[in-house]
Amino acid sequence: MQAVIAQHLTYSYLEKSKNRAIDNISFQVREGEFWAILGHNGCGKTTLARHLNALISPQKGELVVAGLDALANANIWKIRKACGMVFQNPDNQFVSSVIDEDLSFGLRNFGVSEEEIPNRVKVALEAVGMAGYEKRSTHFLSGGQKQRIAIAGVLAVEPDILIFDEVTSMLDPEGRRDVLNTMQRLRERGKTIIMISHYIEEAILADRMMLLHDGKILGIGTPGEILPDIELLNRTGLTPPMAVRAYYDLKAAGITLKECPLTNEELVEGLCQLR
Amino acid sequence: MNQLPTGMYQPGTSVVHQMKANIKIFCFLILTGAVLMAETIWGYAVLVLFSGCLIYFSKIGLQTALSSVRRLIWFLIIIFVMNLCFYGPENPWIKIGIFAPSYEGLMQGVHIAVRVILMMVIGNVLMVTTAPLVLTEGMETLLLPLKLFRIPTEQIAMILSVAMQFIPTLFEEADMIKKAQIARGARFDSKKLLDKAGAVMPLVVPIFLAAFKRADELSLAMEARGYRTDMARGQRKFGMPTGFEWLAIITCSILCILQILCL
Repeated sequence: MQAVIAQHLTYSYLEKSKNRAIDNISFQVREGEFWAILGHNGCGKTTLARHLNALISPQKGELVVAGLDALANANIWKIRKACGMVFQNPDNQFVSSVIDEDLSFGLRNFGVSEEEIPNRVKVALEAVGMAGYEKRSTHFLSGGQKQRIAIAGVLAVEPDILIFDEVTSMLDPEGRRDVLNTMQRLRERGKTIIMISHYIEEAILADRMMLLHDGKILGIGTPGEILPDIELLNRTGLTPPMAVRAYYDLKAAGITLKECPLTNEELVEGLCQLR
Repeated sequence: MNQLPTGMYQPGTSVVHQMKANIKIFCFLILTGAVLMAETIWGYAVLVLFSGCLIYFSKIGLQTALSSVRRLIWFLIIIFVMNLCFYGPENPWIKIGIFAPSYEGLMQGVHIAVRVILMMVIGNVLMVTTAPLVLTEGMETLLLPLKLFRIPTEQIAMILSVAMQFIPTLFEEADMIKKAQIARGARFDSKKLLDKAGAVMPLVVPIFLAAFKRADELSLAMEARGYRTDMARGQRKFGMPTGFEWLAIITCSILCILQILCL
């Protein structure tokens, strides 16, 4: 079954403007897939993400999220329950400085019973590797831990789809690793994940990736199909991963690897095979 | 960061922590009334003593209780000096231009400063011992009668709670902006009050912008997490006051009545 179906989705912040934030976008995300949406700043990534969480209603086209038509007002809250969204700055997502309180915010909004809330909070914290942090203050957490708590806040509501809107962009390398590992764990649990990012290395984790440029889709495919296409990446304003650049540099120098590596590990492996 | 910012909730097990939020807010309102009505030195002495007991029973420590006072020390000095110099121009000690310090002004300055300090300490105890969302629900419970007049009590409580929670964050942000401006050559170390006030002005715009940005992002995150204003949220039930809570209500009420009788 499809988790997201978008057909000719179009949106402008100024309704009559010709400058479209997203322009005639069509794609389908299957349940349980991990998608990465990439593009430079202002290309429409966040606008698209907000459509998927029903924070923005489509102006043109069709959008079905978790089997619910996003054009119907009656579905807005159902979509928000089925499709959770984590934002860039964890500090601006906390409603309470006490972790269990913050996690219970979404649960109370969706009418979960008081008896069930502590258990949901516990399970969500376990899912992000923060069990036992219920009574702690968010103030003492590192950036990565804060973002994991923000993820737990969304996860507690038990959405089927999770959208991560540049959640690693304000984190140090360790924090990024923490959050990416959490995403991997969630994917293994069968959640559909849509990650918005401008770090191309993060897209390697995805099943499929989409490149956006000026509100339009420039490419959709697996990382293995998209990342070796340097020309396409350049058109999107993205720098190819280091392993891909090395592959082409080696090729120019007359050394051809069997296939284009996407990660440094694959590059090393490819070079070892040459011996 | 190894210290909680001023006014931020600190989890604990003290009797004050365990009191229901609606009772705590109710007691805080009665105490605020008592502080505003205090006029005599004995009235203030009783309130200071009571505040001391409150700090002791809440186990938050004197430093935490007084942290907001330390932050606003310049505000207190300014209101004290303004009262001293402008309050009772009839019998001034000396008159220099528009400045006319007098005994009445001195007393009024002390009154106002002590009142503000007492309210800050009591408010700080409330904030530090009550989790933000519990505080919101406590406010909602107390504002419930206003629903009869179609006043959106849930939204008011949520706005107040979120605003209060962001005060410490904004203080931190102000501190960060100040340091960034010092790094770019701004000076905040002048001893002249006017220069000090002038130096603070460039902080105001970035702090406001940061506050608006935070508010915008938080409102989006709240919406994404299912917050809506057209439907009641699930809420914990506070129940009837316990014996200790009745004692707290009665003590605060007696304090307030005593201040009225002393007038």
